[in-house]
Amino acid sequence: MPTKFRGVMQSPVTPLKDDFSLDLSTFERLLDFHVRTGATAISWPHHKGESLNLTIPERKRFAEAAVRVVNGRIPVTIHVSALAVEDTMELARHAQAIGADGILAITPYFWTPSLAAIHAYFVRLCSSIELPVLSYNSPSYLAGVEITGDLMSRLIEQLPNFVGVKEASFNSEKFLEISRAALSMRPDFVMLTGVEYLLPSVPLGDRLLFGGGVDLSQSMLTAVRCLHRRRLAACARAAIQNLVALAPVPRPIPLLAQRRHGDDGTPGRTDASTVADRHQGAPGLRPQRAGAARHPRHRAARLVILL
Amino acid sequence: MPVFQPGLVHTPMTPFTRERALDLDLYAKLIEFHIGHGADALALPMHAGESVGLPDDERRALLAYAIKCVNGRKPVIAHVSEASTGIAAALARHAQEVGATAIVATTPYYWTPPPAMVIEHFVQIGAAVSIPFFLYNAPEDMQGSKVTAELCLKLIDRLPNFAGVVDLSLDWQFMIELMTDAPRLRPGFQLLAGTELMVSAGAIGATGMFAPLAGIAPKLVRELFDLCRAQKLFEARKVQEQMAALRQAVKPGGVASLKAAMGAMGRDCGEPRPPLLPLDPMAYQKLVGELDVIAALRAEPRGW
Repeated sequence: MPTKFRGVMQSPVTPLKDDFSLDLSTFERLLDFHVRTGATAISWPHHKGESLNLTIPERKRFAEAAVRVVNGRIPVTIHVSALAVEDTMELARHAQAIGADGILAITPYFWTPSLAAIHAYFVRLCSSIELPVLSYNSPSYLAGVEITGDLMSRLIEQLPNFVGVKEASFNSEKFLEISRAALSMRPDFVMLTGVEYLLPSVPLGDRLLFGGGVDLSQSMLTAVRCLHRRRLAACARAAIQNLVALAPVPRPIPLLAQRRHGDDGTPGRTDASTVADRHQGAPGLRPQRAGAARHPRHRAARLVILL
Repeated sequence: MPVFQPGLVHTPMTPFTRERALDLDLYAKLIEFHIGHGADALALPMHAGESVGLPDDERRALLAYAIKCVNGRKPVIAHVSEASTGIAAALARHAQEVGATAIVATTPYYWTPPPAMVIEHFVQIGAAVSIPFFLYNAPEDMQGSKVTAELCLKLIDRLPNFAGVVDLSLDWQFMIELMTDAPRLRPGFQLLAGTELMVSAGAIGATGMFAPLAGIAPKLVRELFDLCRAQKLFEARKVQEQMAALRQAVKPGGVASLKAAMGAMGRDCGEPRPPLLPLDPMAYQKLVGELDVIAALRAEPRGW
């Protein structure tokens, strides 16, 4: 199955109103903003889009909006990971029905499943739809649960629509274990990593960068350009360091409420506080001003580069 | 202090006789092999050199002997990690006395202390000498005891000879944070890859690499390092994948696998000291089978 996922995939945050209900009109503007400013794919709702704080009907309604607004200009994938696997299955069928271009799914939450259980999960999920499936490996968030190189090989061999992985180990050895296994079997397999990690990941075969809703700043654009020319000169490094200063990503944790473009005021849902507490010891979830002090004006730049 | 750039650092194993005594004659031969096969510097005895299996007097004797054998041809970095801060500091002083170019140390063994104690540990070791001090961040070896970028920045403040981090955490987040801030506070601050996973570290800014596999595959190690230093990172991917395959093959058996692989390459360094056990015959056969399919090893030297 040939894949069309390359470049920078942007994942919009989920705008909320003051009463924490979903703000559809801002969401539509945000999607359009990402498309116009050069995203090469859209994916929603990621953890930074508060996927786990949304009801299943809310997720379906906004998935429909995403497909409608993007309107075929670039591919749209739907993140279907949910606490209950049956919900994941339902969201996957729904994504296919509304005309999404693919889905993304993490290893099951909470249960710390064995490799055999992870295998069975992806076999069931991929067999239930025809859409391309991007898997999602995130051992640091999921108590060490991870897709190994061997498991990756088995899944690729068995499942024609198992086309990629969002690789979030952020670790030289684990990335290589997976990329080595996957790319040797399927050279167009999609390795996807957060854009802040493009320096360590792209030379090893990463070809889709995950934007996490961060504006395409000049820094990032410069870094991607340097990479495109296959030159990891000091310019790329300096640029990525600016990006890290702009939007610090250190684990733990999600920018649960991210500012609107030109407006810092979107609140996060307080019911995500268990996540925030676990990692930050914070009393609850507060809106964060992402790097506002250090980088007052992000320039939205036109991204013209495909990796 | 002029900046000492270690470059490609080989980390020799420590050979023992059948009676588990230090085999210094074989050690001299091994050091010659490393010097003749691409080392820019040596670091010893690292964990792969069974530092924790050497009593204090042996460890000092081994270092002094190695420096005598090297005889100024290459810099020697002394590994001085210990459970006790005082013992580690004493090892550090000894290392400087016998002519080591730099020292390297990790968090204290066993205690898994909180950050304030870790800082004190490093400050006392580093302050015991005037030669450069490198911090070895090896959480997997140290029961998860991990160094943060923030801790490193505090150490820069307290230790004028803190020259860099040898990273075995392989953690992109740590490396990016460190190299975003540390060189601003201390120009010339270095990141060294703690093992032969150099493409990602090199992209982030690593200028050196510790190479525990150098005794097994010195050519491959050199090729990987040179490509990464030239920032030919895309070209380095294939070499990096071969290197990762070798690392994956020897990793399960640890030092026993390293020594077994040395033997398989015709450079017998004996077996590890207890409590480590040599590979059992089945594990040995498996390892040899895995080494056989790594194409790059066919170009490597056999024997001494």
